Amino acid sequence: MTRPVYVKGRALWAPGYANVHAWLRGEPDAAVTAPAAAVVGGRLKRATSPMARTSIEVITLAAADAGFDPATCATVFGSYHGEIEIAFHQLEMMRDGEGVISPARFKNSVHNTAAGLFTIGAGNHGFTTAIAGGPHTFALSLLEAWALVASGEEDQVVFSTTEEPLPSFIGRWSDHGLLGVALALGASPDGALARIDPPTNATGPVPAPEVSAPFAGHVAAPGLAMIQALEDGWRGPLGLTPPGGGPAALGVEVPHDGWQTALEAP
Amino acid sequence: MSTQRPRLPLTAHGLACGLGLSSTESLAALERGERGLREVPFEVPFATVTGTLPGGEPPPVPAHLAVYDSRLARLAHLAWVDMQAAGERAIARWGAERVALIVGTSTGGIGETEAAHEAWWPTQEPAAVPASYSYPTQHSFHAFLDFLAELTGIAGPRYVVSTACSSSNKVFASARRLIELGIVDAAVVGGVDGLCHTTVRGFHGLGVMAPEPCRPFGVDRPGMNVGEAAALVLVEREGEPLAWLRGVGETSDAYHPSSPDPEGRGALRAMQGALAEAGVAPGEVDHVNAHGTGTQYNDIAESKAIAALLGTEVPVVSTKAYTGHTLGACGGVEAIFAIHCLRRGWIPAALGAHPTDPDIPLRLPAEPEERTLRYVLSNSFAFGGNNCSVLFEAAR
Repeated sequence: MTRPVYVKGRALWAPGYANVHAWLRGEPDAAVTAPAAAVVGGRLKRATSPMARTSIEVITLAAADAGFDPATCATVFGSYHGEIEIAFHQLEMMRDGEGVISPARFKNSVHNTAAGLFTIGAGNHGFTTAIAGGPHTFALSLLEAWALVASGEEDQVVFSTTEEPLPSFIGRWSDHGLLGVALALGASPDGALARIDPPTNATGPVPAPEVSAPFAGHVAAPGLAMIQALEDGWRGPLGLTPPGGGPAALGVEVPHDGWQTALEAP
Repeated sequence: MSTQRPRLPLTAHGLACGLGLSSTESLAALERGERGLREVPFEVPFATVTGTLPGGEPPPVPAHLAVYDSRLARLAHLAWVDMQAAGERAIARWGAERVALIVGTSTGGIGETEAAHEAWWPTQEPAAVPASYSYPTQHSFHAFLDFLAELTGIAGPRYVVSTACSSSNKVFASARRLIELGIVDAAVVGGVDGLCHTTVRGFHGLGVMAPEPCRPFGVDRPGMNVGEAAALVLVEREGEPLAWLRGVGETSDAYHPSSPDPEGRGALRAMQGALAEAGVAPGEVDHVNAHGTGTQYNDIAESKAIAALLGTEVPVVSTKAYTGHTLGACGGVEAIFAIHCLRRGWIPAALGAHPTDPDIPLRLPAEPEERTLRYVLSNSFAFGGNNCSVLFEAAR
């Protein structure tokens, strides 16, 4: 049996944008330079990346927006590139001195670093996962989160897509900046922003609100488009492929046109 | 949630690991009690052994897919070839778009970036990066899935689950949800991780790397060995089962980024979750393929959880003594071992577990055992306190 799934909350964080409202107003604030990620204590936050702190921030904000308890909601942390900055720090450690990697870096180098720190900080003993779906990471994170609710396995799921800049010599494949987006999905229509369909393969162009610079083409851009669509009361099909050549810029062949979902009245 | 779930048939598998380059080779070596632990395939500034693929470098990927060539893609290629006939049958039966690829990895193809970085480091000039190097198609997490998609024609949803060492247990739950919900009819799941400096040096930095072959649950055990593997398992809506997928339990310790809850409470709840989904009582479990990394902390915490749930008489084996810890691939490797045990009515010896740590209250078979098995539980636990336990049932 497939249960209906509802969008219950949304969040974003990027330098200049501390929350959804600042972005929707189009008013960046130069004072916003680092996410608080306050759910995780200071000691645990040491040696974490902007990627991990941003993921934790948007998951926490979206849970709060939905009225979910961070100690009990399930979480899906999506990212195409993961902890890529720490990966390169470790490569530098190999070239220096004894060639050994510091444990503080290594434990924070896994793709599920943010997932682990969030569950520790929030005291959450339940489900969490971390996934990577290349340029389609947002759509596939939505798929994993949607399936958790639709299957009846979880009543409240928050999913995110976060990327930090590509470091060092791999920067030539993409010049995207730091951005995290999260959506909260639930089984209850109470207070929902929309009912959401499972993501499916798009066989042609599917409309979506335009995402402007500097986030056009970002892997998380379909999340921004969804936040704008929710704000606009969008109904019907919604495209989920990063516009502006996100995948193309990375030189990746995409075997189909992309992904789509649909938003309907709750 | 602990609602009972329908069982799904596991209909084929493909494997390459330290024990062999195919399922047949690997399972025969497992039955012979061999260890697939060898020299590290690159220089590191400390002593250890790794679960290195036998026979030297794995063969390159097909020439038309050379843009994806990486150790990870080569491993994945070996595992696919091992199950190719069944995989192609499933694609023909269900349609390419109705088959998902959901596979675990911990580091993706970072080994290729390590080599590029080494070449780039002295001058740090862009021109020093080898021309054959391509981050998106060789290193990034999903690159080996793009390779598998192009190789096989599989066109359903494809994504990596990367929760470090629990990754390739969690893929079974992801695939089952998509099949149950009618999104796809089949999925190729499993895990792929290749040996690389990052993990071998990283675990050494954590102080948990054994300089010699590991001895899970053994007294004065020296720590773990890193291994490499590709393990793919075909899950279908319907089909002739090698074994059944019955239950998956997924929990978080909420305790520490790299150490398990010392009481094993998260592990215990993961095992309870897997049993609850299947409606199977703890007393019905015939064998546990433990996470059993061979580190002090894991083995103590896991043994407390197993003893609390299943008692101290169920035979427990860590096959990491044979393969090394294949990280993001270990759930897939050990699922294939669990399926083999169920089919054969056989349990491997708990290599290295004797003499046993006096604080480990488990039955760890000193010799292989022949016995009818109905249920096997396979555990995988990871950094971040991420726990996943999968229950398999014999096909007969």
